[in-house]
Amino acid sequence: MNKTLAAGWILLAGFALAALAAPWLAPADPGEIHLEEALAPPGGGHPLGTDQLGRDLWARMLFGGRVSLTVASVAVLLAVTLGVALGSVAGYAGGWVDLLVMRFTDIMLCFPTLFLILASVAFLEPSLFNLVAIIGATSWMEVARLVRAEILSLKEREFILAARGFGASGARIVGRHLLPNALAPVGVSATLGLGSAVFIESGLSFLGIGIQPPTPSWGNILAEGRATLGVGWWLSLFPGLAIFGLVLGCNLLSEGLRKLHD
Amino acid sequence: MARRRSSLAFGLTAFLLAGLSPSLASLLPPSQEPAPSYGDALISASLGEPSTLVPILASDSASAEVCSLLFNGLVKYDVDLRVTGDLAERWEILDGGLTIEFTLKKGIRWHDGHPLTTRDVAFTYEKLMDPAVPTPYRGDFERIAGLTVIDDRTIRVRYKEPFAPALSSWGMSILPEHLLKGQDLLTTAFKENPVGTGPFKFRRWIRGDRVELSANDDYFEGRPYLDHCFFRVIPDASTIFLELQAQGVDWASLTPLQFARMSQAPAFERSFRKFRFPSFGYTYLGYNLQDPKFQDRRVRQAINLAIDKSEIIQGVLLGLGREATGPFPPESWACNPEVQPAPFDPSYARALLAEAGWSDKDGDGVLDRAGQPFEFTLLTNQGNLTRELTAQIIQRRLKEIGVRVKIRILEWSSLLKEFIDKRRFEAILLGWALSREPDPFDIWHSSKTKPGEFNFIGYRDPRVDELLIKGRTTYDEASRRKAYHELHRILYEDQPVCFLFVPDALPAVHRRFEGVEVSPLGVGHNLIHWYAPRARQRFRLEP
Amino acid sequence: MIGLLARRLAWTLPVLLGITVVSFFTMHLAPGGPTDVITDLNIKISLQAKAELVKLYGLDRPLPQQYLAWLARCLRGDFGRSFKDGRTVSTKIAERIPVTLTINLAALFLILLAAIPLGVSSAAAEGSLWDHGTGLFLFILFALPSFWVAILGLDLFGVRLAWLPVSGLSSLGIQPLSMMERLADGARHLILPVGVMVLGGLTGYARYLRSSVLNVLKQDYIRTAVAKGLSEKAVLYRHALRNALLPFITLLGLSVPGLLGGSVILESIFAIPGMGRLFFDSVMSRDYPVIMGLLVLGAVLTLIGNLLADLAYALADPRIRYEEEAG
Repeated sequence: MNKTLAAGWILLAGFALAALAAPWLAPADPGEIHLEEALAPPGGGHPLGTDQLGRDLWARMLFGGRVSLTVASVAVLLAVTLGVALGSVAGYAGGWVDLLVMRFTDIMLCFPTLFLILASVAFLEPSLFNLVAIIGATSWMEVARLVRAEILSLKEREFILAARGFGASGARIVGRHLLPNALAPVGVSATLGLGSAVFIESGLSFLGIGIQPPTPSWGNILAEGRATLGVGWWLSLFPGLAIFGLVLGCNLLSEGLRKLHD
Repeated sequence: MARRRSSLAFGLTAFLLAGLSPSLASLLPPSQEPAPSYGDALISASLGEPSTLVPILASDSASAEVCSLLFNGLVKYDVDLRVTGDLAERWEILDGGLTIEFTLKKGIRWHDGHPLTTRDVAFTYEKLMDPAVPTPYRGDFERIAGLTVIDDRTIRVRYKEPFAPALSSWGMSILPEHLLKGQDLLTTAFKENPVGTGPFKFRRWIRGDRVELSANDDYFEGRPYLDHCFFRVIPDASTIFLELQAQGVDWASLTPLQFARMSQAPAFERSFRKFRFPSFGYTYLGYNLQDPKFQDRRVRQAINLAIDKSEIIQGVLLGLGREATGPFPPESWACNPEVQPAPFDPSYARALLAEAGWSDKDGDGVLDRAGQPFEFTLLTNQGNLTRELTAQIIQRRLKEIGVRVKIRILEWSSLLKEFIDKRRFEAILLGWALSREPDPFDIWHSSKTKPGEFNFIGYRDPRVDELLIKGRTTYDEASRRKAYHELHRILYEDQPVCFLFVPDALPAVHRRFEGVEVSPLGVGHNLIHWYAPRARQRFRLEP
Repeated sequence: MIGLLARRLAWTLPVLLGITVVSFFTMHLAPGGPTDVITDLNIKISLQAKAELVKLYGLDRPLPQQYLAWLARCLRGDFGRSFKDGRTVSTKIAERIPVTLTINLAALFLILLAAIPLGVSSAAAEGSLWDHGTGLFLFILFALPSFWVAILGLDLFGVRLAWLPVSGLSSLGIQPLSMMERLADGARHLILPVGVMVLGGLTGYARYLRSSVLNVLKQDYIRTAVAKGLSEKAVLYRHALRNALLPFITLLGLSVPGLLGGSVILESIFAIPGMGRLFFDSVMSRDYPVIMGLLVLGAVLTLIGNLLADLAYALADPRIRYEEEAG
C-alpha cells in the first residue's frame, strides 16, 4: 500500500466513522432549536458554534456528513452498476448493440451534467431517492467506456478463448473472467466519481434544490453560512472544510489505487 | 476601484470649481439646507429580473417597481394614504357612486412628446378587459358598465353597482394608445422600449444585469433631481449585501439578520441610512380547509395557541416585526384594534385537541384519532430564509403538542402550479402583500376558490361573505370600517389561517442622497425629490 | 482531411438527433404539462389563451408527434418563445453566449498558461520534491468546492480588502471612460469568477499533461533524441511536449460541458448574466422552451468542441490516419 492510498483511506474512514457514530458523537439532536443561543461562536457547550436557530453545528455537521456520504456513495454505486452493465454488454456483444450503447454514451457525455441534473431535480421533487437516482443516472458514462475498453482488449486473449472453448456462457465469461480484470480502472474512476458526487450533492443543496431543511447537509449549512458571512464565519468555514476533506480523501484514494494498479 | 477613484476626482473638481472653502460651508446655520442639486444616479438592487415592462401584465415586484417610475395612473396614494390625483387633476363622483368623471391635468406628454389624452385611458381599459391580454388586474375593472370619452381631458366611468375600490383601482398605469393600438401586448416591440408618462424614461435594459432609466425633463411634477435610476438584478440576498458594503448598490432591502447584526460596522453606518417601518402585509400559516383534520375550528385554534409568535418574531425577525391578528395590517383603518391575540398556551391547545378527539392513544408521542396520527406537510416557498426558519420553529412547537409536521420547500412557480392551484397541500406558510385599499374580497369570499384564485384554502362562511360584499359596495367609510372590524374579529376567532406576523420593511439607502423620507407608503414614494449634493455625487453620465 | 471531416460529420448527425430526444424527454419527466406553467405566472389568464398555447406547442398531440413538430421547428432555428417574457428563446440565449464564452475562454487560457509549465516541469522531474510538491498542491486545489472558494474570495477581496468588485460584469457609469479603461474595468470584474474557475480547472489539465508527457518520455524516439545528445530542454519542449499535447487537445474538447455546467453556480454567486444563470433561472421558473433550447445548445456546443478537437488533432499531426474509431 502506498502513502497516497493510505492517506485517502484514513481520511475516508474518518469521515465514514464520524457519520456512522453521529448519534453518539453529537452532543445534541441536530434539529433541537435554542433561539437564545443563536449564532453562538465555537467553544463552550458548542464545539463548532450554533446556527441562526441555535442548533448545534457540530451535531449538524455530523448528521450532514451522513447525508452527503449516503447520497454520494449510493449514487456512485448506481453509476458503477449501470456503467458496468452497459459497458460489458457493449464490449462483449459487439456489433450493433455496441454501436447503440456507445452512441448513447456519447450523447449523454455531450450534455453539461449539471444542466441535466438541474433540470431533472427541479422537475421531480428533491427527495433523497431522486437525488441519488439523478446523480447516478448522469454519471455512469466513464465507467461504461472503461469497462468496454477493458473487455475489448481482453476478449481475444487466450484464456478467454479457452473458456469459450470449454463452453462457458457469455454471462459467466464476463462475470468470472473479464470483469475482475476491469476492476482496477473502475475502482479508480469510481472513487474519483465519489468526490464529484459529493460536490454535486453539496452544490445542489447550496443552491437550495438538494437536501431540504431541516435535514442538515453540508451544502445547505454552507448556504446558511453565506447568508451570515459577517456574523457567523463558522457556518461557512466548517462545512466548506468538510466537503474539501471528504473530496480530498476520495481523490487521494483514487490516485493511490491508480498507482497500485500501475 | 476605477469607480471610486473617478468619484474622488469628481468630488475634487467640484470642490475646486466652487471656489469655496469647506469652512465657509460650515459657517452656514445647519438648518439651512443648500438648494438641491441635479445629477448623480441611484442604483437599487432587486433579487429578480423584471419579467415585463408592460405595466398591466406585470405581476412580480421587480417589474412593478420599474414600471412605477415609467408610468402613472389617474390617481395615487399620498403620504397620508388618501387617494390623490396623479395624471388626473380632479374627479367627481356622481350618481351616488355609480359614475366617476376624471379630468386630466393639462399638458402632460408621453416620453416621446405625444400628448396624453383620455383616449389613452379608454384604450388601457379596453386592453385590461381584452380576453387575449393575460392581465392579473382585470377583476377590479369587471364592474365597469362603460366608459365615455367626453373630450381630450374628460372621461366618465360608469359602474354597474357601487364599488368602493373603484377610485383607487384607477391607480393602474395608463398605456399610450398611439404606440400600442392593434398590437399584441405579449410580443409588441413596446416592451423592449416602453414609453410612459412617469418621472423617468426608459434608457436601456441589459438582460440579466440591469435596467437603466434616465430623468424625464418634462415630468409634469417637475424633473427629478437624479439624472439616472438603475435597477440591478442580483439574484441573491447575501450578494446584494456584499454589494452594499462594497458601495456598488445605493438602495436595497436588508434581511432582519443583516439589519440587526451585520450592518453595525462603522463603515456601513457611515455610508448608509437604515430605515425600519411596518410592511403592508402579513405572513400566515394556511390550512387546506377541505382536509377533515382542519375542518374542526378547535383544531385550528389549538394550533394557534401552540405557536409562540413572539418567539418567531424574536428568533427569526430579531424583533423586527409585530404579531399579526387578522387580515389587515395594524396601519390600516380597516384593522380592528380590539382583536387581541390569544396568549401562547400549549396546555390549553392540548385540551382543545383532546376535545376534538385527538389524543395520544398509542403512546408514540403523536396524537391520533381513529387510528390516524395527526401529521401534515407544511409547504413554503424557496428563497425566503425567514419562512424556512419560521417553518422549522412551528415544526418544533407543534411536535410539543403531539402534532408531527414535515417541511417541504418548493420553488415558487411549482408551489403555485402543482400544489396550491391543484389543492394538493395540507398546510402552507405564505404571506400576503396587500394594497392600501383594504377590500379583501378575493382572499376570503367563497366564490373565489377556483384554481388560480386567491381563496385557495377554500374558506366559506356566509357571514364573512356578507361582510365582504357590504364592505365593497358602500362608499361610507364608517360603515365599511364597521364591516371590516367585524370581519377581522370573526376571522381571528375562526382561524381559517393562523396569522403569524407583520414583518418590518428594512431598506438601506446611501447617505449621499438627501430628501429621503419614510412614509406609510415606504421609502421611495418621493424619489423625484431625492438629490445628492454636488460635492458628494458619484456618477456622471453622458446622456 | 476531407474524408475525416465527412466521417466525423456523419457520426455527428445521429448524436445530434439523440441529443434532441434526450432533451425533449427530460422535459416530459415533469408531472403535468408545460402549459400549466404560464397560467400561474399571470394568475387570471383566460382559458382561451391556454387553449391557444396548447395548440401552439401541439401539446394536445401524442408525444412522438410533439417531438417531431418540435424538432422540425428546432431545425429551422425556432426554439419558440419564453413562457416568462414572451421573447424568442434564440434571442435570450444569444445575448448570454458572449458572456459565458468570454469567461470560459479566459479561464481556459489562464489554465493552459499555468498547466503547461506545471505539467511539463513535474513530469521532467518525476519523483522529485518539486513533482511531489506541485502534485500535493494540485490535489488540494482539486478538492476545494468552487462555491466555497467563491464565497470566501468575495468576502476577502470584495468586501474586507475592497480590491475587487463584488458582482456583475461592468461598473455603472463607465460611459465616459476610454476603450482601454472599459476593458480594464471588465477585466477587474472577471478576476474573481475567472480566478475561481482556474483554481477548479487547473488540476485536471496539469495532471493530464504530466502523465501524457511521462508517457511520451518513455517512448523510444525520445530516448534516441536524448542519446543523440540533444539538450534536455530541447527534448522536453520540442519533442515531448508537442507529442504530449496531442491527447491533450481531445481533453480540451471534452471539457466544454464541464465548463458550461460549472458556470451555473458561479454565475449565480457573482450575478453574471451568462448562460448558466439563464439556465438556472429558467429551471426555477419552469420556462420549458428556454430550458430545452439551452439543453440542446449546450450539447451541440460540446459536439462542436469535440469536432474542433478532432480536427485540431488531425492538423497537429498530419501523419494521423483516421481509423474508424472503436469507442
